Amino acid sequence: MREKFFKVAVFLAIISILPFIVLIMRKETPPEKLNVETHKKQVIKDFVLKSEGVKKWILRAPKALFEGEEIHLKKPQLVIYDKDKFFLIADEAVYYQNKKLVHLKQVTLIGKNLRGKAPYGTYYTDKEIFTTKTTCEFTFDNDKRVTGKGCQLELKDKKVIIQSNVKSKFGEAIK
Amino acid sequence: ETKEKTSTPIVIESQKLIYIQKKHMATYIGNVIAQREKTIMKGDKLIVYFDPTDRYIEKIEVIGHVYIKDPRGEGWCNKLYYYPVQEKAVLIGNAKLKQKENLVVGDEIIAYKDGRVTVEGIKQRVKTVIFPEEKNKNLIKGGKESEKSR
Repeated sequence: MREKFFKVAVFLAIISILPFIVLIMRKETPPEKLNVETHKKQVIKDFVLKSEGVKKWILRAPKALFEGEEIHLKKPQLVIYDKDKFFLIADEAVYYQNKKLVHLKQVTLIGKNLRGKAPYGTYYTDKEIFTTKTTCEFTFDNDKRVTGKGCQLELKDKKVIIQSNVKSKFGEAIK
Repeated sequence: ETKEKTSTPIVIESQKLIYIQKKHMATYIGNVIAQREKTIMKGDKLIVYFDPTDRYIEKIEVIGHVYIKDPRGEGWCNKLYYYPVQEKAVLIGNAKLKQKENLVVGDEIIAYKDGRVTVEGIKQRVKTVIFPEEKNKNLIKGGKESEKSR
């Protein structure tokens, strides 16, 4: 009798475990590892970026492509709020958030009675300095024109430094 | 004629330039050559001082191995102040001014637009070398020939 009772108990134990085993068996097997590049690049239209704190600059572009720390911009415009407004316009630019600088290509600088041009250049947003190793051209009050190579413009002091090949022409500068 | 004169540009070339709009000053450094019409200035360093409106040149200072040449003559000195409106040049330090054959040497020479020249000798004595004018030479030559023909 005891033996019979023992067999029934074992049988019941097995039956109670079965659903649990079935449940485990039915668990979805993890999806096959697909080699899909995780989506790093993000494109934003009508991109606007404002400086933190005291309003110093706004960076705009019709199109911006985020690549890690870099923001690649098409036809960007950087507006700098100094005593007078100052504009940097370029064909292309790359903004490095952590380094606080913008590399610009075919850049034009426009300020109050000052205008500049350079094939390439870098603007440091915190120091408010534009530098280029290439050639550059600056015009002051429409008739003072300066060209050279290796140029730096310090917005705060409206100071222009040109390292070499300086040639300047002052038009109506003599009364 | 003055209107035309003021519109002629001044061209300055050098190795380096520092222009500070706030200070109304442009400093040219290294093999500086400045030219306006027939006036040429050369030196190691040249500073242009603009007026407060930043539009007009008030004064030009040239420092180091200074050379200036214009229709009135040519000059050498350590330091030069040039006033473009008055077309006045002040040569300071080992100043020499050569007009045709005549030579003037002193510590400070001021050359005015109308050709007047004042010379000052502070450390060194003023020295002037004046050659008789061309006319006088012809007279002398003429005089000799007339003696021969007699």
